[in-house]
Amino acid sequence: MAQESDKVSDDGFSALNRSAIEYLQGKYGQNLQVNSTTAALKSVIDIIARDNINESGITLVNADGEYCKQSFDRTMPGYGRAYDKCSDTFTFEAVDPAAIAAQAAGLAGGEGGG
Amino acid sequence: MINLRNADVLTDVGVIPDNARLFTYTLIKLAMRCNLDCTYCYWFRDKSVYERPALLTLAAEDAYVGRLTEHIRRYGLKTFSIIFHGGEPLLFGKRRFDSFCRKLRQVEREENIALKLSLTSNGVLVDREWADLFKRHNVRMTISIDGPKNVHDAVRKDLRGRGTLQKTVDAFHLLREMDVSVGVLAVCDPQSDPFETCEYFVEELEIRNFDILIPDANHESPPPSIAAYYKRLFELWYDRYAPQGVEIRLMESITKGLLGANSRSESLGYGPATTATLLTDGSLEPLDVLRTAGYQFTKTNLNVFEHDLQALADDPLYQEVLRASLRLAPECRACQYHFACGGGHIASRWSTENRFDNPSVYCDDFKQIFDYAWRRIRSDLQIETGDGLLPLTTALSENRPT
Repeated sequence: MAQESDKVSDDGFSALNRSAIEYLQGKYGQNLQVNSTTAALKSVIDIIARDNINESGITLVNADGEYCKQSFDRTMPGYGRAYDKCSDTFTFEAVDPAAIAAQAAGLAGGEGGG
Repeated sequence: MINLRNADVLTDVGVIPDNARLFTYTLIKLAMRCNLDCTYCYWFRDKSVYERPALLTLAAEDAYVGRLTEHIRRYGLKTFSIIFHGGEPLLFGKRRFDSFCRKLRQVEREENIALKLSLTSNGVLVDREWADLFKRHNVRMTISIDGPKNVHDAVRKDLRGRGTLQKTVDAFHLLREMDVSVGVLAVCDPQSDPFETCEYFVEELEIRNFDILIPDANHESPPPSIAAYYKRLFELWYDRYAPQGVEIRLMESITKGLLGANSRSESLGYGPATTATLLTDGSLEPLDVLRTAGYQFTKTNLNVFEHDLQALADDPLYQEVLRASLRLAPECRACQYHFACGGGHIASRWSTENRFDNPSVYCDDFKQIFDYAWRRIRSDLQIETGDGLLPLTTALSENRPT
């Protein structure tokens, strides 16, 4: 199976992983955007874009702050989205990832994983 | 449209961001026991669950509410999530549940925080009174339905060995009728046909949003292959259901990972394992699924009577799991899917020999699934180059240096 994986595509890329992104950025510049008109892909791209906007107020550039935002596989799919759309819940302010990181670092002494 | 400039920030493996240590949710075990005897349940593989109180004690409940308040104030949190879980959480009883939720909503009001409450249940005990409680306290429900009768009843049985589909589906319809937000989770039976399950969910139950979870397993008990099942499920989602607006979470997670974005999933995708679990006696433990590794595996010396919630972050097992979730095994780091996969669920990496320093026990399956998914999606992606849209396949292959 590893051999099959190695030949997943003619161009040698198997995902928009770091090497693929760096390759594209080298060719077309840093500010590349990806899109699709296929329903499945469009829905996922919309989710990625919406999550970034809704939860950090900006984009994945602040991804460090996004690490903690894992879904809970044992709750309903779309839990966060459904909840946040609910009008009878609180309107909550955007969490500042940098502030949380600073607080956590202060408490924990900055555990390194390396 | 997503910006590729941003996605690569996530692909640095091996570094633990400081904020990964700050707890922003708790998995609360309202009950250690269950009224069902599902064949694949992870929870009872560790018999130490029988050594704890059957239900969350009142003392532990009150201590937790105090610790939660303290935690919110100390870190200035604006949102916090609580997942009521078990065993079967409805064994906790309506009066106790109502009381606990009232306390939590009071904390929400007093601390000006948004508390997201959710509950995962087998549904068997759900009635109108329960539904009313969920609605009153704004608790998001998740019901476990594995598929049509032949799939569900083969594995989700009551203590007398009887299938439970009808009661579960009745609960699902009741919750919907009473306008309670309810989602559906299944666990994959790799021997079954995913089309059958999808058709049942979409056509019969009219569910637009569900997930089919990967069965819990580790290297000590290698599971059957799931590759064929999930490749077929991806195909069904991609070609048939997504165009109808149906969302299947794991398929979205796979696609997110292949697009360089955070999967936001426990099962797949690079990211930290940060779950804190409250047991019925007030103990604090790491991710509950880790108990599949054996007797008392998740046991700590921490509890809400003596320790604040954040104390769990310094527990040796919690730290080991967090490090392992972000520092992948050598085989994973060399794999082309390391980011989209993230080594799979952290519990699936366990072996007594290497502990978590393994790829997932589903590694070979995941490679097949990601291969298949990437083949399907790559030709349907375009990038904006400034000079217009360009097919991704063209962009990746044009004049590529050798």
